[in-house]
Amino acid sequence: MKTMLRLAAVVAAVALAVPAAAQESTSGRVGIGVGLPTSELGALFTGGDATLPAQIYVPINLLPNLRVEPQIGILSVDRDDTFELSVWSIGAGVFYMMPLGQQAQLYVGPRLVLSLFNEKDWDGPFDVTEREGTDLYIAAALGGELQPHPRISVGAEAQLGYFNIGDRDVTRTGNPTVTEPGGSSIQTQGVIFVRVYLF
Amino acid sequence: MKKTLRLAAVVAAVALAVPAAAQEQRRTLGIGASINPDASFSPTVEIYVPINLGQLRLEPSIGIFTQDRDGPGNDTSDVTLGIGAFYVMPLAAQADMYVGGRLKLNFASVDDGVNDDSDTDLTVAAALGGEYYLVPQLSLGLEAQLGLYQRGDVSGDDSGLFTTGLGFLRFYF
Repeated sequence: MKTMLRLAAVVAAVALAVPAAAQESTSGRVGIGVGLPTSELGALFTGGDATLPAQIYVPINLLPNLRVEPQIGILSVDRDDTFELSVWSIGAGVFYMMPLGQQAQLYVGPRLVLSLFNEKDWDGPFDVTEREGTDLYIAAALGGELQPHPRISVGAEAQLGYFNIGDRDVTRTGNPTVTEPGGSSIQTQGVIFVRVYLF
Repeated sequence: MKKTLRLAAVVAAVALAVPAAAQEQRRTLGIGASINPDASFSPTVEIYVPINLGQLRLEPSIGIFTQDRDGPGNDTSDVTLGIGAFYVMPLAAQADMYVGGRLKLNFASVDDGVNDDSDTDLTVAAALGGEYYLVPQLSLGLEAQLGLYQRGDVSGDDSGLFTTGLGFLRFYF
């Protein structure tokens, strides 16, 4: 029995020690961040109705050299009985982190974002046109980050992205659904980041 | 007289030593993004690659923005290639000033499914900038530009003069 307890204690100690060690070396942080496009072109629009709303990021340093960064963006417009728009986007980046001195680090990796689009347009009380579709954004990203304080960082990220605009299913009241073809876009993007690490 | 000369030599040596020391700390290669509040003359978002060669900086840039529609509508493409050449003047251990110029070519094309057209836009600008290094690997900067642009048929067929200001964030490896 004592042997079992000792073994359990050792296993527990090791299980706790590994995350603790990882946490020390990576600042062990989960944070929240905002990304500001460096240009008015940087809102990832491609004309028409394809867009990614402004994104909120959640950087999670899993390992000293690995960061996963989920992101979410929501845009919703509701004009009483005339127009409704809803865009929900969710995605994540996975990055290999490379320290540059004490306070700075460089990272490289992909981002992938899925965006759900829905729009309703009223031509009359009983005449509604609904359009919906799904868009996909994939980007290769290279960024840098400076941490003047352990809980705050500022950084910049360069992206080369591919934006796939999905087909739109268009349904007008009393009519069958038709499909509008989508498209695609390739874009370079710049994003300035401010991240606050909470714990 | 000799003392004066010696003193002048010492002062000159110190004055030159600070910028030289400051410049020694500069990294050779980096990557940067510009903060451009007015994209009137920039059809793409450009990524910059600063290359420091002593007091000379070369800064190529590239920007891409294409749209390809599966159905009816225009397919468009803008690819911007630029090069900046600057003389860099160290001001302090953490600050530099630079002066020079930028040349950009934007290759624009449009295809409406029946006809296609392409043209090249040209931008030339004199630039004066400053850069502050928060750490050797990261700098914040500002740049003022006075430029000329000539846009082809695809982009509007116009030309003129412009002034603009850019913010920069550069990371050095």
